[in-house]
Amino acid sequence: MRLQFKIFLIIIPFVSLPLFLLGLWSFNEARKGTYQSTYRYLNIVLESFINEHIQQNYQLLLNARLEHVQSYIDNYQQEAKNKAKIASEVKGGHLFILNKDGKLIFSSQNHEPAFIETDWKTISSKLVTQNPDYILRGHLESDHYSDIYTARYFQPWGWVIFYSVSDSEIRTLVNNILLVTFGVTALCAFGGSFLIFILSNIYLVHPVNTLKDAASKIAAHQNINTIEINSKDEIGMLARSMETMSQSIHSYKTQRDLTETLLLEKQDELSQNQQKLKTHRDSLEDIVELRTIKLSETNKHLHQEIKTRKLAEDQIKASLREKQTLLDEIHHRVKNNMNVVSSLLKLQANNIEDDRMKAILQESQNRVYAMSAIHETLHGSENLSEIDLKKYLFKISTSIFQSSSVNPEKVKLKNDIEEMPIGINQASPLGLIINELMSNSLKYAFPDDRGGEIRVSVKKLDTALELIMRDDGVGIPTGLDWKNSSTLGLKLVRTLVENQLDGSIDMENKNGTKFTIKFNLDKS
Amino acid sequence: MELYTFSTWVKNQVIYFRTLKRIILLETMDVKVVRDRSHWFQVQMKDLGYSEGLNMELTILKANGRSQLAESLLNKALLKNEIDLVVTNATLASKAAKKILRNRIPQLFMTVSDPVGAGLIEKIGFSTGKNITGRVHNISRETKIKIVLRLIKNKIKTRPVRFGYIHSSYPSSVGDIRHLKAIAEKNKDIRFISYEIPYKQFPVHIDYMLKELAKGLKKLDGKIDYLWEPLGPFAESIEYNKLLKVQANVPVVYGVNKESAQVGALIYLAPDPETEGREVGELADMILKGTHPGKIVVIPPIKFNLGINLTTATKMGIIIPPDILKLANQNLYR
Repeated sequence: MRLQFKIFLIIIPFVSLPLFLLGLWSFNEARKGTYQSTYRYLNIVLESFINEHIQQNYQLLLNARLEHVQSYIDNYQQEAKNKAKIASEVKGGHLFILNKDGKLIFSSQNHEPAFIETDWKTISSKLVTQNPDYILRGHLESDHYSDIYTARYFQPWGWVIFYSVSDSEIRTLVNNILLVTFGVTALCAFGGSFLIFILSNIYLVHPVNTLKDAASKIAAHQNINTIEINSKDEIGMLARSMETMSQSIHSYKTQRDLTETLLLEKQDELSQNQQKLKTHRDSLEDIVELRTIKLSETNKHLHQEIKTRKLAEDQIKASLREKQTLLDEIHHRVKNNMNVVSSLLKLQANNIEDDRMKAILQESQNRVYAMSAIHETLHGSENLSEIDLKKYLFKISTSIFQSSSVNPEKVKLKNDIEEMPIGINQASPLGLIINELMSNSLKYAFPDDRGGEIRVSVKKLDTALELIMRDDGVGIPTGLDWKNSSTLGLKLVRTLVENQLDGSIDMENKNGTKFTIKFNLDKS
Repeated sequence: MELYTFSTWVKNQVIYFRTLKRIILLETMDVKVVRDRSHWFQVQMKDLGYSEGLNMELTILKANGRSQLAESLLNKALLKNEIDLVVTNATLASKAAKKILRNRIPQLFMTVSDPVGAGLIEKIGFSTGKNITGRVHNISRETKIKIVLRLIKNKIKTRPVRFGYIHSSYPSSVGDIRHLKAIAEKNKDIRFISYEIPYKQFPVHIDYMLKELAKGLKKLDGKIDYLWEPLGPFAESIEYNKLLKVQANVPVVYGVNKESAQVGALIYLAPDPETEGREVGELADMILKGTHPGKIVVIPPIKFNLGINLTTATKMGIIIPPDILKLANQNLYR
């Protein structure tokens, strides 16, 4: 069975059943609504007739106090009957009035009075016994009538007013509604099913067939670029997927063929390369063997060379140690000799009574010590070309201070010297300069048992060195040209600074004496 | 003409901006129909916020039924003060005022049954275009005839029904019978047989007029089937009705006011005095606020009263139909 017929058979009950139920419900509602509307209509007509033409006429008579005047009552009742006739003609239906005894007073239609009185008397009697405002409605089924009706009792005139319509009219109307409802339902069911059949054919069956054809082509390894389904739904998406799948298969196939060709080429190339590699490998093995022999020989030579060099290095090191020991011994002997010189100067000074000479010898002794202190410091040190400046200057300054005659309780020595190495070529003049300047301060700055402080500070300024020698003594006498002084000490200082250290010296005579010496350090 | 209209407009604007409004109420005579309208006019003015002495100065002039007196009183009043509006009550006073005022001051008339016949306006149902307007004190004569004929139908079948109409030479009365006869000429079922009494100052000469009425009754005796009360001050008086009740040999089927029905007329149909008086008050307010009288349409009354004498109806063997009884509402007399 084809797909569209399956769909058609499935859909028919789903469409027909709800439509049938809807039609059934509609018919039922329409039938109820028709009867309710009819009752409502009967009520409205009856109420408006009673209010406008019976109640109002009676009220007019009541207001005019004519309600007991029979001529007026008859006239106004007749007026009401006339209006009832007109109302019945205009609005349809049967309007009739019975008195409270059940006797017919008025009928808008030419019915047999006896039939009306017989068939409607029971209802009339029921109304007469009820509340005047009570409205009775219902359905009368008798030999002569099959009517639906409403009725009310108007007590002042003893009238029971009925308004009825034949039930057959309503039934005909309801049957018409039934026929129309089922007709429309059947039409809708057929139309709906047909429409769904057509739509399913367009939107489902035809696309599925197209997909089926496309799948067959793909199975036969045919390439499909486009499947003629343009919808955006699942079928459209399936078509797009199949297009992609077909293109992928085709692409894969092409790629596979290409790869196989390449693989064959590569296999040939590999075989050739393997052959070449084998040849190279054989050749290389020969080379390696040859080179290995050469390398063994070279290695042997190298071992010999290392051995030779190590022997030479040991000889150099022994020579160096010997020279260093020798140099250290030289410094030691120089120091000893200078100490001998210093002791000789001291012995001589002790034998001389002239204080000036004594002082000169003392100064010379200090100067010799300053020079010997370098060798003393160098002796035993590892590096014989440089000395520790702080250690050296501390030794000199302390020695000068201790050998002077100043009271150590009153004059204090303060050293502020940075630790740094300095070459012996610059250390020696620097030691002499310190010796001269400190000797001057000790000699002249603190006369008459004056107290004070001598401060020696040395610091490194990048590549230069700055020595400040300061005392807070009495200072240099005013007018003394220290640069051109004839004294040996200051002359020696200037000479040492400018000629040996290639530096500068400044003096400030304020709150004591302050010498500032700057020179560039030798690069070692 | 344009210059005249412009000057009138300027005067009306002056009136509008002046705080104290001076109004003259010129009454033809002291009869109930006139008194009622004047009363309700004044009540309406008060309801609209006009207060005597505060923003309104109302001068009431009574002409005692004399045209010359009306003119004289109005002239004096106009000389005394600048008047903003002249309200005239009834035909005699309205005619006199129109003669004196000559459209210089706004005139508003009421209780005039036939303003066209009286020469006050040219057409009913249109604006006058002049410095005068008002309300017509009348109901369509065709309507009155129709109602009366419905009630007395089938009483006289072989010939036209003859209505006797005894009236004074007062303008309203003369105009009314003229119109009624014109209608009767077109309707072969009815005839109006009139008897005219010379009008003398009313109510001063009422005795004379009553004697003339009695003469008229004798004169018309046997020639008429029913009596029809005329418009005008004479028939408005209770004495007229009482004399008819005593001396007339035929029933009065149409009366001009409530008193007529109370005394014995089968029905009366007349404009509602309160509505008519209040309407004129509304118009006076519009004019005082700057509306030109010439733009106000002259129309018949919008509300009227129908009264029925049930005893007369019963005596005549008439059953009042429900729709007419409903119109009469509470105006039922015995």
